[in-house]
Amino acid sequence: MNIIITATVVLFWILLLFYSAVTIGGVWYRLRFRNPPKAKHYPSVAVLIPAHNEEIVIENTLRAMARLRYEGKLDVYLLDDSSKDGTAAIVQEFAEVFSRIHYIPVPPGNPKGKSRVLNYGLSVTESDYFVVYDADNEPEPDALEKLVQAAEAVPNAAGAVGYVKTKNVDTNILTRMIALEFQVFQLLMQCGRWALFRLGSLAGTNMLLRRSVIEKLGGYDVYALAEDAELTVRLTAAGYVLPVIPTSRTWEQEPETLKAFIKQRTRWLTGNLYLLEKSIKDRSHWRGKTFVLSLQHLFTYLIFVLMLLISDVFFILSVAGVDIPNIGAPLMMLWFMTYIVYTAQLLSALVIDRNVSLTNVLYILVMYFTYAQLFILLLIRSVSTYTWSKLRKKTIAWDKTQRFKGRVDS
Amino acid sequence: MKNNLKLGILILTMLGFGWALFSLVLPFSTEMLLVAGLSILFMTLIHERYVFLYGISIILSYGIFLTIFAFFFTQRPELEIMYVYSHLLFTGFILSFWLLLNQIKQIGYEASELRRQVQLLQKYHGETDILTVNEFTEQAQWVLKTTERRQEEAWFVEISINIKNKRTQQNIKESLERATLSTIRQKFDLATSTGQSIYLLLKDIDEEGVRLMMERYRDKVKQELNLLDSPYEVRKEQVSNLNELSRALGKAI
Repeated sequence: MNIIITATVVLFWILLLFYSAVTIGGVWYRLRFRNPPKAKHYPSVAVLIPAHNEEIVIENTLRAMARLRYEGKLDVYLLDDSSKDGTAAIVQEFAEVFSRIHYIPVPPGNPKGKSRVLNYGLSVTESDYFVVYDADNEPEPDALEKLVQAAEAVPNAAGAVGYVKTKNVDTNILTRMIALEFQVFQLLMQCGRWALFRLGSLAGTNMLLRRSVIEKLGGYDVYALAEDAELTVRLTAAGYVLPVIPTSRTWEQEPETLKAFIKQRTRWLTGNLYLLEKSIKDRSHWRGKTFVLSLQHLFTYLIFVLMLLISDVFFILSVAGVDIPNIGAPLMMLWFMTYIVYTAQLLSALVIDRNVSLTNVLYILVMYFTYAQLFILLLIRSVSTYTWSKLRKKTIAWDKTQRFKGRVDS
Repeated sequence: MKNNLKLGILILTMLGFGWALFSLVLPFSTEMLLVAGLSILFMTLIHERYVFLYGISIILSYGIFLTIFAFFFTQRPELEIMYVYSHLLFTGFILSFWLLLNQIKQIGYEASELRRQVQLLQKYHGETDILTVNEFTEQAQWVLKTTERRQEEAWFVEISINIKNKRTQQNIKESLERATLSTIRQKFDLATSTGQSIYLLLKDIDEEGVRLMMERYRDKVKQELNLLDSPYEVRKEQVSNLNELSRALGKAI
């Protein structure tokens, strides 16, 4: 028992210190960040937007696409994956007016999901680069231009990745907590990994790639549910880098209900479990920079959540008065300090993103006890889904994130 | 939450934590009161960008100190709880003071930003930085005066959008505005828009020049829009003084 407790405490703290180092790296990178210089030549870019029943959000998305500023040739392809609602009609209205917007119906096929749609999009378009935006995304007018400038300026870059900000942050407690989590664990740490290890990871949206690179890698893996993470590992294994550009921003909708959130995150976690399994089988995933990436996946999606679960169990036991073996270390203080370090990371992100407010700080103070604990449930759910599908030898179906009706921008 | 209420809550919270640190008998409470007092002074005096850095460093340092102290000198778990309380009170005090400072500075920045935005709004509007009607007429007075004095020609052009599709109307207008700004001579000609029309005042130009400019404009619009029929109609007339411009604008608006 003593060994388990000691190992848990040591591992938990190694992880916390690692995340703290990455956070500090992120803060340092953000403070020093300068926009990439203007390119001498702006190559052609295809914007790929996979869509399936997106009538609620697509109008705002296309408005943002029409507003994109880019000096080179730019074409926007809406890849309609058998939508049954008004998506096609709305897109066609825009396509009739704007020469850069095109409507592409994707033929039905299996397995269902974003990867297959993107592969089809790549097969019917021609451009030097392509950039992916989810159907609910509204990039800022200069978002794409900044990504291209970075990809052209950084040696050996496969492309570039930008920031994803939450559009519906003020809707409810959940959306606010998701936005805060994104600020630290998706954005600040993304910058930290780039600053410390020259590692960028694709975010699934607001990500630019050279067409020649994806062709060399054989396109998207159609069985990957977290296609962005899977492709990141292959890109890194092939020796490419992905610069992170925090000033290239897109705004997206986050789940507004717990049910939608759990469905989305289960898909992400299941996708990462698939990636873990693939990484275990593929030795190239455990060399050089890819080792850091694979290790980080293992720790973030599996070990960290398990540590959280174990620390919760010990905390509840100690509060309930159950005798915990004495390991000669102040367990209560160590547990308390994990909370302080976790909270300090979130607060740092608030300061860097300049959105310090009393409300945000109050949310951060309770996030460890509420939002973070949800990940235990998510891990249990995704592990059981993944194991069940393996036992039945069936492919897990792509679960589209539910959209919510918001304001139609003018 | 209103700013006054927020400030009130923060001041009360800070005082509450300070009082608890002072009155409760917790480990290192005297030392921490002294550090908290000095921190107020220090955080007020240092540059804004270092305030958070200082606050978080001192919170983490105290936590590390307590953990090490508990590791070497404390064998009783109930004492650890006292350390946690002591740390929580100190953290609460420092965080509420940091938030208070931040809130005050935020109000200051918001006021400056609002002033700046009002000035900008009075000059430009929309997604395209085109002049507001007020700014257009203000600058037109000066333009027409110089034109009159130099006995040059000035032309007023009205571009009316004739697309009725409400869904795409806004984006078409923005595209036309952008095309306008890239066609006219920067810092020389003036452009504004209201409703479904864009208005130009072109100075030191003759009718042939206006025709050529509108041809360039048409080509630019064609590059961006797929429409076979022109999405706009053009009306032009020569103006030589503000009265004529007001009449032309009056007809249009």
